[in-house]
Amino acid sequence: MSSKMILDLFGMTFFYIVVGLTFMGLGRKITARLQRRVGPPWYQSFLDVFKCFSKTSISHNYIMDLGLIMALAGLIATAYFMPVAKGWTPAGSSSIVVILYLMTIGYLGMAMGVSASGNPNATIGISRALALMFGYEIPFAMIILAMISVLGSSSLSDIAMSQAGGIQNWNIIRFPLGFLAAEIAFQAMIGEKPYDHMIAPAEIASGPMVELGGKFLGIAFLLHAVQLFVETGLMVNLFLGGASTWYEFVGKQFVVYFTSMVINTVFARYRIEQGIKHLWVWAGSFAAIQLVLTRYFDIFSR
Amino acid sequence: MTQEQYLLLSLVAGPVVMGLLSLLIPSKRAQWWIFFLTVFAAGATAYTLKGSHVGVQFALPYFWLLPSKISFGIQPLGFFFVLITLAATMMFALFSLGFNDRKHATRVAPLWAMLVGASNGIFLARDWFTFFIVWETMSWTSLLIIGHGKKRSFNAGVFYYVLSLAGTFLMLLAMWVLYKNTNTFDINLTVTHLANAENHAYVITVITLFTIAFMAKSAIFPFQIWPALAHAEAPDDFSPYLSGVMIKYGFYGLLLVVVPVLTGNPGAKISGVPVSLYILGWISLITAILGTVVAIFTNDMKRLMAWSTVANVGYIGTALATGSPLGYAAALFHTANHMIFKGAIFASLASVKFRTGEREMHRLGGLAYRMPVTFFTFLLGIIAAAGIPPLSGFNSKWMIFQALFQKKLVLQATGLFFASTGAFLYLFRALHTVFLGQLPRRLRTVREAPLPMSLAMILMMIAMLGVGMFPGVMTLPISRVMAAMGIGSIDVTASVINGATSSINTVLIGSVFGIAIFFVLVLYLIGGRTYRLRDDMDNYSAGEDPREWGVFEAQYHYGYKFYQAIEPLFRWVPQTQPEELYRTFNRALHRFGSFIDGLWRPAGSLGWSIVFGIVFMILFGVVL
Repeated sequence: MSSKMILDLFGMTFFYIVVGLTFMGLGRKITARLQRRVGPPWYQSFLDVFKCFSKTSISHNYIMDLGLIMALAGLIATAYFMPVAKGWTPAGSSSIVVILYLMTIGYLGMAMGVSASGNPNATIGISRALALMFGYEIPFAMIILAMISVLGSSSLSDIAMSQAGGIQNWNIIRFPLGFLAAEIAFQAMIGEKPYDHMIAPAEIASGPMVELGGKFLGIAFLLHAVQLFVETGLMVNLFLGGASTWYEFVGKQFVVYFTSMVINTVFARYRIEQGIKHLWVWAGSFAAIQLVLTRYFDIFSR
Repeated sequence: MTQEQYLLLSLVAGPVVMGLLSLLIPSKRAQWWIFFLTVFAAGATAYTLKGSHVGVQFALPYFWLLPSKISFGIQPLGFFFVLITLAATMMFALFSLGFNDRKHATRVAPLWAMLVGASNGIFLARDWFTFFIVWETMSWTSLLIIGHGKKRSFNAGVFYYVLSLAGTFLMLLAMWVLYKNTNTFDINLTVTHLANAENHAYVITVITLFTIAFMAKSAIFPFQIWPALAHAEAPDDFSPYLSGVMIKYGFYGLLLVVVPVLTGNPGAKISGVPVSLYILGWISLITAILGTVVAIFTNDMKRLMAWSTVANVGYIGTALATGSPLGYAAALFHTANHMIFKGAIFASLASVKFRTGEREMHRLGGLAYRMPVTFFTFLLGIIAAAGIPPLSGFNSKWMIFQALFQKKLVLQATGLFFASTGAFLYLFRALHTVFLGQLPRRLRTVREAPLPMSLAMILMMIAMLGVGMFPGVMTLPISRVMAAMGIGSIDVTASVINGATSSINTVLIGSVFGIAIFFVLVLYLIGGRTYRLRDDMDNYSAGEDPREWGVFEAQYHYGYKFYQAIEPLFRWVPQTQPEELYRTFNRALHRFGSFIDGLWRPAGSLGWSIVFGIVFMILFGVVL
């Protein structure tokens, strides 16, 4: 732990938040345009966050404060292990298992914080989110395992680097079924339609967010921003060949996010068990076929 | 005998003798103090023996019929287990000292002391005969502790005992076969004999017998039901020991016999893994998945954690069954970690039950606001159990995944990801339902657990954090133990673990997380003022006040049937089927007995039954 690392982490945190919030603003713009509205300006999310932090907030108890702090910190730490450009990772190592499990601390903190508010709507949202996690983690894990079994390395930057040298080397070409599965799982991962059971505004009063106000809501916004950075970054590094510069990376991330927002706009919500069944049946079977073909028949991989 | 030999002997005999002596004392509190001091004395003795290679062998006087001498000795693997189990037991003993106050005290302290002695004996035994004696002592003392004078608990204990007895018979058979072929009971010699044996079918038969015995002890499928009964019904302060320490005897046995034999004599392989280990791997994986899925829908908190123990046993088995040094290290490391984090979880649940007397989760809620130390112990426990960095469970889970990646066992790894995600579901459910949400009115006056209990829990938290940040505390000794056993070694330093496909630096992960927490804390502090609500029920409900409909806190707590939405997806899981299987077997046996009974029933049938039993046993022996 050196002072350079603290400065690095500070700078990177700023970067993650700016990228994530910009995406959120653009996402609202895209949705609006697809619905023939004008929509808010792209920087609206920044304004929202500033406003949230300036207001008086309502807290139920110390666990609520602690949970949300833990959540944002967990996701920032996760993002720090994400390779950004040319396999360069701020933290210096990027074991994929570390990324997948560190991300969980963000979810745990969020879940803990909102549960402590005592509102059943929040807890129902969390119960749905966790159930959905059961749906998307398994297909996603299978695809990652397929890649590891080909490459023999579970470091995300190695996976990104292995796709260098043109679009024909990208994993989106080499693992087409896997990409399809990951795209479905990704939709559930960032909680957009048809898998937005967790928020479900008209059903459970925005679920986890129901009790958040003031700076707590602001932290929740930032949480979503960093989460977007991590999850789109995961897709870019796994399938879109990583990136050689940071702006290429952000550009590719935006492509992933744009696709997801378009899907979000045109779909309706599943019921919760339908959603999981859909994830297991479609994403799961695509991923399983990909895994078996890659591991046992050596097809698609090269 | 030298002083070291006396010390070694006292590790086994000391607690047993102290246990027997304390039976004479009428006061329960005094018995618990003696137990506590005995465990600490044993811990100190074990620590002084560190690095020694002493052995002791003697014939029991007046028992000249016995076929072998009693012999104990320090060997790397066994002594590693002695040290970690005693370290964990010391914390549990401190916890028990607080738990057994005037109102809650049970009479199990003397038995538990004897059990600690037997446990040390298992890890120090040098020959099969001694091993068998201490193994049986461990079985019956734990049966009586689980029973602790309650009918329901005793039934659960008997269930556990019968299952483990079934395993013990197979183990006895294996020992007998080994003795017949080598004319010795010495563990090392018999293992070497098996590792160099020509006839592979013979080797497989013997290790299968041992494996089934150890599977029964460690609750691997199809023996996975007993923890749910026994862990849940055991005295609350004994559950940490039962779940943390006792379920690991099976893995010690596997590492003692099966692993060295298969290292020397691997036979046919699938994906680079010896066939028998490969099968064990799949069985363990089934255990992990079954345990997880059943845990998700369990409402009794102690049962839930018992199923979680079953799932973790599955992880350990899967790691062990990769048949690689990394896998053995991961299994050993997860064994040690599980000891602490599951101990911490059971300890915090025991504190909850100590203060509230409840076990059904949905009747609790909001206890975090009243019992902060208990809450944080539970929180860190579940973070470790879910394998989230920077706590201890993550490191071992990461190693398990690395071992699977190394052998490219992708299907097993997928199953383990499934179990691991499911673990997050049930762990969070327990956290929410017991500690968060609404605090029922009748629990408003609940206080924090008494000082010794809190102290023990704080120690467990420190242990989890310490091993999480500096896994070298465990991994370096494990590497040495493995090198001494001749089953390879792993590439680790104090804070770095190098796996097969990548490496992690735990201090880096921990400090990144710590700095991030600092940033967010600063952000939180510069944000606007915080207004703290005093009333739990004062929150958003679409403009209605739930109290106007007569809804009170306990009903406003979303806890019962937490995952009802996904229950239909898991109808395929046989939740009660294994119990039903045993019952069917029982019925069939009964019918067979009645059939024999109906054929011919002479007068005074009990006496005749005994005669027939003896004749049958003699015939059985002759046939063998």
